[in-house]
Amino acid sequence: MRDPRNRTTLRVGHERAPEASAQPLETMAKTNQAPDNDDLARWMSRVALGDRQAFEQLYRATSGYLLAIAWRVLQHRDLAEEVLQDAFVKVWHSAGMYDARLGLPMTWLINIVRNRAIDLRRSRSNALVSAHGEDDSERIAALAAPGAGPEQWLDAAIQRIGVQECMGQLTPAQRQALALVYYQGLTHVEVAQALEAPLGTAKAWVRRGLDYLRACLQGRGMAAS
Amino acid sequence: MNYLRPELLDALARAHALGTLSPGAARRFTRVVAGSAVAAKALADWQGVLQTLEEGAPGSPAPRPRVWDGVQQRLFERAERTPAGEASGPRARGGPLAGWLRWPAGLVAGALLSWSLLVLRPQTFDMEAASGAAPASYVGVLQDAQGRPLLATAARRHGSVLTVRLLRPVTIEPGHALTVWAWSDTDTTPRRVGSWATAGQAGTIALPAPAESLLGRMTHLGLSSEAAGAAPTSPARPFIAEGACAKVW
Repeated sequence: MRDPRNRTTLRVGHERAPEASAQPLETMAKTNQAPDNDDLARWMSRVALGDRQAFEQLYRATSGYLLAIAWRVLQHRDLAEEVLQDAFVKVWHSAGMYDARLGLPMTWLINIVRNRAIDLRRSRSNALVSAHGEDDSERIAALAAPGAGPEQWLDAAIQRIGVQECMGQLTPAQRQALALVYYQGLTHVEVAQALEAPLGTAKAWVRRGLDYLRACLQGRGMAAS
Repeated sequence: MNYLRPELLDALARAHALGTLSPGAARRFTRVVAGSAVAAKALADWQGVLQTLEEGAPGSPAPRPRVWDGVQQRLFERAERTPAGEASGPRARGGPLAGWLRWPAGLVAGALLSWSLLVLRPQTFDMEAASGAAPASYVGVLQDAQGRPLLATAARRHGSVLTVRLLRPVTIEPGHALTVWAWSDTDTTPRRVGSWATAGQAGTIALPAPAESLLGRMTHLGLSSEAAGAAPTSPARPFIAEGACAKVW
């Protein structure tokens, strides 16, 4: 089985966006080509030298994928696009800091976008609450409701990378805690609130979930030991 | 604290990759990563583990065209409106800059000039406020060895971008990038703020944290030329320019 970290699959079409959008769907172009990591690495090196054409190619190839990450954390399209714009400004200035020895270009890009989205989510939590018209506890609880996205996304990821058996040792709470923190950028406090668990327990669930994931990947030769 | 102790390093790298470190701890760990290949590897390994979770996540529509337009506008449009005036040929960091002693007097002048620019010509920094009043910002005007203004900087107090504008052309060695540093009167060790591409005279530096937390205690700014792509923990000396970091609010 090939290492999923070496591919960048763009999932579009049949899957819904993290939030029902107010914009008409026909205005949204669909991204349907998977960027090759060799291409990404080449464009990154060109961007570091100030090559605007490579910068645009990098944007065209990755922006749809990266927008999805910000969108599911922020649950708001406008904010997600704001994050994406900030992220690409940072990419232009920081491309030279990407070190191919440490990881794939897509991993580097994902972390820029996800970190910025999490920062914005936390700094604008009040604005998000007002936009949703709910108080914070209701909104967080809704994220942990049965059938909500994060658990399903984690299950899908576990299946696609082929570690169902290994990850099956996690309890449902551990899986849910991990999914909420990774996919939606919740803090430990918010996870504890959503799952009605003590803070220390919530932290332990997340930690164990991640340690299991790494061990499972290492067992399949898909992560550094 | 020894951040490189294996158990602690692994825990910090895991939390940083996941995004659960507090802002202060995250900033400290970012500095550790910048100065340690071992820490950088630990973080990258965890980021790689987490990326596998993207396999199950939903996609989204492509971003609207205005996103790319905004990127272009922020990065290039103002730079292209300025006259091309970069001097040609590499200029060493030392040479004619050696022996300058005019900075202390320049700090006051720089602060005054930066205040004047912000209030009288806020569009210089793309900061025109709807009310007509300049927004709360950190500003600076850095001067060269001869005391001539060389670089203007501005960041909104709670903003995440430092806007920079060269007031005179600067030539740096190929493969280098202009880098801004900040330090305070009480802690004179310069902290790297960031670098920007020098395709034009204006640019932006994406800040890793809100300006308030990065510049709130800083009183001085410096400009150096560093190898592009490097994340040095100390600047190349002497500075190309130096000036006060002033709060305007």
